[in-house]
Amino acid sequence: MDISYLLPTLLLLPLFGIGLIAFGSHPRKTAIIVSFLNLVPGLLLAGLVLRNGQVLFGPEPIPVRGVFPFKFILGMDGLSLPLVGLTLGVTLAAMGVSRDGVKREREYFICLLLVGLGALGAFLSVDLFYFFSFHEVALIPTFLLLGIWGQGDRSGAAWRMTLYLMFGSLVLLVGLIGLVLALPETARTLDWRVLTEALQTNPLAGDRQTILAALLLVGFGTLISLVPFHSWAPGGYASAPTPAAMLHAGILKKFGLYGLLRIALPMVPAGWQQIGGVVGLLLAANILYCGLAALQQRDFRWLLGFSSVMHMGTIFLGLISGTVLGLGGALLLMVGHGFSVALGFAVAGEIHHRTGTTWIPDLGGLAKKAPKLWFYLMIATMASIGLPSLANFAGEILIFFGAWASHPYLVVIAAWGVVLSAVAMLRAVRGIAFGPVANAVENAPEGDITGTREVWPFAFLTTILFVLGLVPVLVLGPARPVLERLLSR
Amino acid sequence: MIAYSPYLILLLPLFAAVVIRLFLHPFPRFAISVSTLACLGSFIGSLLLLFSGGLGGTIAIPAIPWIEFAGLKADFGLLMDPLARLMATLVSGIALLVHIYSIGYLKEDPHRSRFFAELSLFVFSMMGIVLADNLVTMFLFWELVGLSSYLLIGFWFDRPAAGAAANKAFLVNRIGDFGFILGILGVWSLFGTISLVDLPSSLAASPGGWAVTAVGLGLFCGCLGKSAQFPLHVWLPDSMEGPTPVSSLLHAATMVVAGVYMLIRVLPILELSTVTMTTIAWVGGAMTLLPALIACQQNDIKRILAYSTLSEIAYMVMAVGLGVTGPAMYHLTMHAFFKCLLFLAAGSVIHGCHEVQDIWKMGGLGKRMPFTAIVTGIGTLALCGIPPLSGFWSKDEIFAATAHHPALALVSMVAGFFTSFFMLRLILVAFGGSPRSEAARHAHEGSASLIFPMLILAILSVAGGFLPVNSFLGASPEGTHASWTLWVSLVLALAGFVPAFFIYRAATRDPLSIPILQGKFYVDEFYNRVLVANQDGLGKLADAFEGWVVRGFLVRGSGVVARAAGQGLRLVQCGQVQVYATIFILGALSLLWWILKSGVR
Repeated sequence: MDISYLLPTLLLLPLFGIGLIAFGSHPRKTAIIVSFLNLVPGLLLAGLVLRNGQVLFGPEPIPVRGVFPFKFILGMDGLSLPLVGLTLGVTLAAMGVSRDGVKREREYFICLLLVGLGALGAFLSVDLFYFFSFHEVALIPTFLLLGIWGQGDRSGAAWRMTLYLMFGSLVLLVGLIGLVLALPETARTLDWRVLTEALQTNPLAGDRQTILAALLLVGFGTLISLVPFHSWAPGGYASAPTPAAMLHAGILKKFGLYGLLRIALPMVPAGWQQIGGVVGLLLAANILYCGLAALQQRDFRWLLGFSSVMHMGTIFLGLISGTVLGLGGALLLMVGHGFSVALGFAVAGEIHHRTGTTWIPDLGGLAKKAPKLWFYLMIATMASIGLPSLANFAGEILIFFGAWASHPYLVVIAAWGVVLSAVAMLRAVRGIAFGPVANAVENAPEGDITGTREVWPFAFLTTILFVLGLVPVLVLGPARPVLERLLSR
Repeated sequence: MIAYSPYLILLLPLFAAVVIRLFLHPFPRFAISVSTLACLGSFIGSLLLLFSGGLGGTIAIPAIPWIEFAGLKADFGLLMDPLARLMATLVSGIALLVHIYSIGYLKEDPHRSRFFAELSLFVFSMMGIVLADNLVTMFLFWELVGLSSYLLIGFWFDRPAAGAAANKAFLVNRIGDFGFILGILGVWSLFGTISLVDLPSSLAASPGGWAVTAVGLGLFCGCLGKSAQFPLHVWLPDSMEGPTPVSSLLHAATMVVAGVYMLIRVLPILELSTVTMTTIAWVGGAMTLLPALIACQQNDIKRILAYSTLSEIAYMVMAVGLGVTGPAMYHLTMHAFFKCLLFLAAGSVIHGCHEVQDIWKMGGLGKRMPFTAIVTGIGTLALCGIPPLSGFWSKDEIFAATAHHPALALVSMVAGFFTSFFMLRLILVAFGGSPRSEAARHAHEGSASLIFPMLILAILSVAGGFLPVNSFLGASPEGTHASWTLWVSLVLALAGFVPAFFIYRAATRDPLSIPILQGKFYVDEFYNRVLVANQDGLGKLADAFEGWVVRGFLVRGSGVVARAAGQGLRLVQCGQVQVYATIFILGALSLLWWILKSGVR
């Protein structure tokens, strides 16, 4: 079997599922089955990359209509593997916690599958055009999900999100185009492999690098919710339907980080170094400012949103550390954060479904009424506040070690951020789970999550968080050569 | 595979915790058996290891890989030197006794499966700290211990106070860990290793100066949190909201001394800086006295003991600060015996009186619970350092080490005076006189599962001083045994009994009332008013800024503009959603146009 056909399979399966749903098969079941089946090529590819450390590309470029300069090539190396794994895992879990009986069910599940499909495409694309476009493919259904199926102030949240992310995408587009045009006309290409190669052998002039790096930072940064471009995130997640919040916070946000790792760092290294100071300031704001704001949230989903924004600061610290250790930590934390925030939103969704609210002062006593849900609430909390043996801790500690030599003050801030996030999350847990049983919890028509049918997405995410925390080499091993190459210049 | 068998003492409790969590929640009997047997297995394994490998030797065990990445190597390895083997035996032994005690204590609790799962998780994490061979995995288990402590303090989760205390414990510990992790990073950058095995040989390259001091103080921060020393001591008294076996095992005998154990492990680094050592000695010295004073005016039986724990741990910290680890470890071991005993006895009282914890609502328990009264007396004598009970030997060694530091000697010996005072107060008020409440009138001894562990611990508290702890650790006892410290400390300890006896002999309510001691020197109030309020104030500011300026003004302002633009685009008139889509398609098209125009190949 030609393994190179495994790569497009990853994209074709969800597409096939979308077709099936459009033609009338049961939407939720189809979505779950397709997402589950997609694990098969995913695991096979992961096995290949892990065993041989090999980089996979293929199949042969398919020129689109011959006239356009874009080549549809898919590729997977140690950097994209963890993100592809993240996408497959979170997508499956998000489908698992979704519910039957939403309005316009067919469109709902098509949108959800499209988000996952777009993210996979972006992580697998070698051509920058597809890299960018696939992300847009994922963004549009996200807005739809928020605008149509959201809750609370959904139109405001959807608008805010659209404005910010559109702005980010446009700046990013300018940056990407600038990058390509900076090359001499004969060497222009959209293949990031060739582009990286070319820009590493013939680096751009210093000031040009700085401008491009700044554009990429603002573009990708907005998608990542880097302060001051973060305001769309908490409210957006709070209003989004649960699976959409899981998909966006868990996966799509990582697109920006992946982009920085894949494009900004290797292609404009001097520029990235030049703006490192600014990034440092912004990430400190992410950690301290959003951490402090997180302390004040009384709605659990807002809190999750702010704490997720806050963790982006720590990942940025890994990105500016300039060491393989820090970059590896950032990659691990990206994946760990993706799974843990997905679990967090899944739990919040269950709480909302049962009690009709995530307003913490109205909750209480969940531990007594729903011990299983409480257990997963604890796992999500502990993962998010960096408890050892879960994935996020390994990532954080590597970032701290990696950045200590170059940015000790920022490490101190990030370490204090761990305290802040613990304060915020544990206060919430205390409000939700401890104390006497509140009315909203007492009167909930359904009690705990029960049966395999409801529990498996939670158990699945939890298992992955533990596996990655205990065997971080799954992420770090294949990524190491890529990251080393990225820093050698 | 045989080479890996020592991992069993670590993994058995983990296995128990996981199995109970996954399968045995509905079957408390099985859960209890699995948890207790795992602990027994751990204890037997520790004992076997204690006596193998010879005295003073280190048993080499292959490590299990965890992280080896770009120059950082942190594997799960076991450091089996005598210190670790002694500590492992102590931890698993005490844990086993507390397991047995808990069987009776929580006989009627519907959630006892969860209790035993969490207890097993604790034993696993604590053994992990003890056996860790590098600072990063030690930190990992350190945090897991924090988690188990959090879960166990909050075990009765429907009590609001339990939730508050659990949070406080975790968060105050996190603040300590903040310093600890920075200290670990400092060690790595100064000495290039985090391995506890390689550390001593790497110290030759020490740069000296403020960096070493800072690193030492950072590591000490970890100890301040976990071992509840000033200024991070505030969580320990509150942690008494947890079930009493938990207070006994975690918050008296084992977990809270992890800080001291860690200090002993990293002593070579601490010793590089006299500033660090002096700080440690003085924090310890001051903390022997302050909690002892507070304890004199507390009325909750467990809180009195908790303050006493603070004071006793401070003796160990002071000893480390003076550079004498042998006595610190010796006192740690003895303290585990008698403090665990005292807490189990307090639990027996609380159990017998149906959840009464105020000593002024007890009284006359000596007649109704004679066994508990006797073991409390034994524990008290051991705690106060009365010869020949266990506490005497270890405290004496610590006092001997203060011989050349008169100020420290004075402070810590005066603390001994007050220790005797509040312990006799406790005994007279709770066990003497006549019952002052209905519950106390009907008090009764517990079942055999409560009695047996207390009996074993009572024996150890009496005779523990004769265990060859020092020679096992290869530490030579200090040569100045007959110095003045012995007599002064002993006289002060005995003198403490006298005023307590006359004041509380027949008291029915506390004749003394000292507000500053009842208010615990107002440290909690200070934190709440100054630190927490400020952080929350900043948080409110950030949140308000976020809500009004960023979301409200900027976004809404630009939203109006964009909405106007959107209206313009509504030629197709299909609602907002299509507007988004259109704009994005325009974006993608502009990319096409740009690139084609500039002629990309």
